[in-house]
Amino acid sequence: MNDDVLRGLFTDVADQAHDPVALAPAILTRARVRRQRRGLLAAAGTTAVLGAATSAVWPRPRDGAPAPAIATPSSAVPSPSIPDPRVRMKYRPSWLPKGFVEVSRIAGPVSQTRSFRRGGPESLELIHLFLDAGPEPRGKRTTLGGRTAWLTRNPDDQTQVTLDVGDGRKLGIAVVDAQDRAEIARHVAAKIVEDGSAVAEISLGFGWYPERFSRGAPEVSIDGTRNSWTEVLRLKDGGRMLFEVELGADHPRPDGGERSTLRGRPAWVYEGGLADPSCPPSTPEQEITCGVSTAQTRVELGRGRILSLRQGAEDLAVDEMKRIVTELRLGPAPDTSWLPG
Amino acid sequence: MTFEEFVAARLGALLRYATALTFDPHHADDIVSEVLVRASTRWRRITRMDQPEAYVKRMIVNEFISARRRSAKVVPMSHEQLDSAAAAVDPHAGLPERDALMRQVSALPRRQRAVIALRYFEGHSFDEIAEILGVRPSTVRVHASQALARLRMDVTTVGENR
Repeated sequence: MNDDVLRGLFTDVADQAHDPVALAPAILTRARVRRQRRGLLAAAGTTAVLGAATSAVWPRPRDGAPAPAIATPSSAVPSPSIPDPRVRMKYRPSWLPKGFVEVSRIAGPVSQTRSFRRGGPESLELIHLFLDAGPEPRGKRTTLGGRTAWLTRNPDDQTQVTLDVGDGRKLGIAVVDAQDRAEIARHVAAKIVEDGSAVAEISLGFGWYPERFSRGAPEVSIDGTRNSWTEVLRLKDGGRMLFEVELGADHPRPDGGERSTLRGRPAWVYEGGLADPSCPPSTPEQEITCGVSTAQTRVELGRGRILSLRQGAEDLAVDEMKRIVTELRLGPAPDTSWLPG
Repeated sequence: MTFEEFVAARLGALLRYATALTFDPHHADDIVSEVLVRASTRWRRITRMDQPEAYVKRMIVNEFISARRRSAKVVPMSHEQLDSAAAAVDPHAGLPERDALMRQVSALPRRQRAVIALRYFEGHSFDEIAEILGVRPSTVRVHASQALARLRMDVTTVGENR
C-alpha cells in the first residue's frame, strides 16, 4: 500500500457524496429559522447561556394553537417575586420603515427590549430597541430628536445608535439585515418617544424557587403571533440567566429523560450534562461542537402547549425543577392583540 | 460572502469532505446540515476570519469526532456489515484489495480516520491537522502512525491469507 492508494480511496469515497442541490434548500430553511429565533433571543441578552442548549428545545409558535385556559393553582409558598406580571414599556418608536410590526417584548427590572420585524416569521429584517443601564458608549457623539446620541463607527456592531434617555439609561437601536442599517437606525432614534401604555404581559408567575437564587430578578418575554405565542419568565442575576420557564407551542421532545407526571400532566425531566465526554475541551469550537445538554423539564399541557423549564448559568437539581414547575402560577392568557396576526 | 452564497458555492465540497470522513453519505448529510445551521447563527463572525471555509471544515471534523449524533452509540460492525458499507460507497467493490482496505479504513477509530482523511484527502500537514483537531502535532503523528501501521498490517494480513 502506498500514499496514492489511500488518496485514491478517499477520492472514491468522496465521489459518493450526495447531490448538494437536493440538500441546500433544507439547510437554508433551517438556518433562517434558527437565526430568526436567535435574533429574538439575542435581544433578550440570553444568547450566550441559551446557545448551549440543543436546537431541539426551541419551540416554534404553531398557528392555530392558542394558549389553553389554565386554572390558577394554589401554592403554600408565597411568590418570591413578580408582584405584577404586567411591565410597562418605557419607550416606543414613533416612526419605523414601512411594513415593520412589533413581534417581541422583553422586560426586566432595568432593561427592556422591543423587537419589530418586516416580513413573515422567517424574515431576518428586525429592528430592536434595547433599554439598559450602561456607561457612555464609544462612537461619534451627536444629537438626535433632542437627545444625546452616539453613532457607532463599526458597521458590524449590533447597535448602530445609542440614545441617552436619562436616569442613567441608554436606549440602543439595532437594525438587522438591512443595507442601510445606520441610516434607518438614525431615523428611528430621532423619533423615539416615551410610551407608558404598552405592556409586556405574561401568564406565568413564580410560586417557588431555591433560596440561593434570591438575588435574581425576574424578566418577562413574549413573542410570536396573536394566536400562537411564546411566553417566558426568566430569573436573571445581572446578565446571567439562572433559569427560565417557557409556555409555548409544541416542539420535538429531546431523546431520553425521566418520564414523570407534573401538574397532573405527562412530563419529562432531563438531568442535562455533557453529552459527549470525549469532546475536545478548551477549543474555540467547543461551544459549537460539543453537545452540552441543559437540565430541563417539559410538561405537556394539552392542545399543543408545552410548559418547559430550562436551567441556566447554575445547576438545578431534578427535585428543584419539579417543585418550580409544580408551584408555578399560571394565570389567564395575556393580551396579545399587539402581536401580528 | 453571505451564508446563502457560501452554501451555494461550497456545499458540494463540504459534502465530499464529510463523506470522506464518515464513509457514509447519509451521515455526511446530517453532519454538514447541522454544522452549517449552527454556523449560520454566527456567520458574520465566521466571515471575518481569514479562512471561513477552514473553520467550517474544522466544525465538521469535530462534529464527526465528537460522535454525539446518531452514531454516539458505538456498535461494533460485523465483517458482513462492513462489507456491505464498503460496497455502498466503493465503486471498486469488486477488487479484493481495495475492498479490504476500505473495510479497514472504515473500522479505524474516529480520530485516526480523521487524521488520515485530513492527510490524504485534504493534503494537510501534520501541523495543520493538529491545529484543526486542537491537539499537539506529536499526537497527530502518533494517530497517523498507528492508523497506517494498522492498515499496512491488516492489508498485509489479508493479502497473506489469500
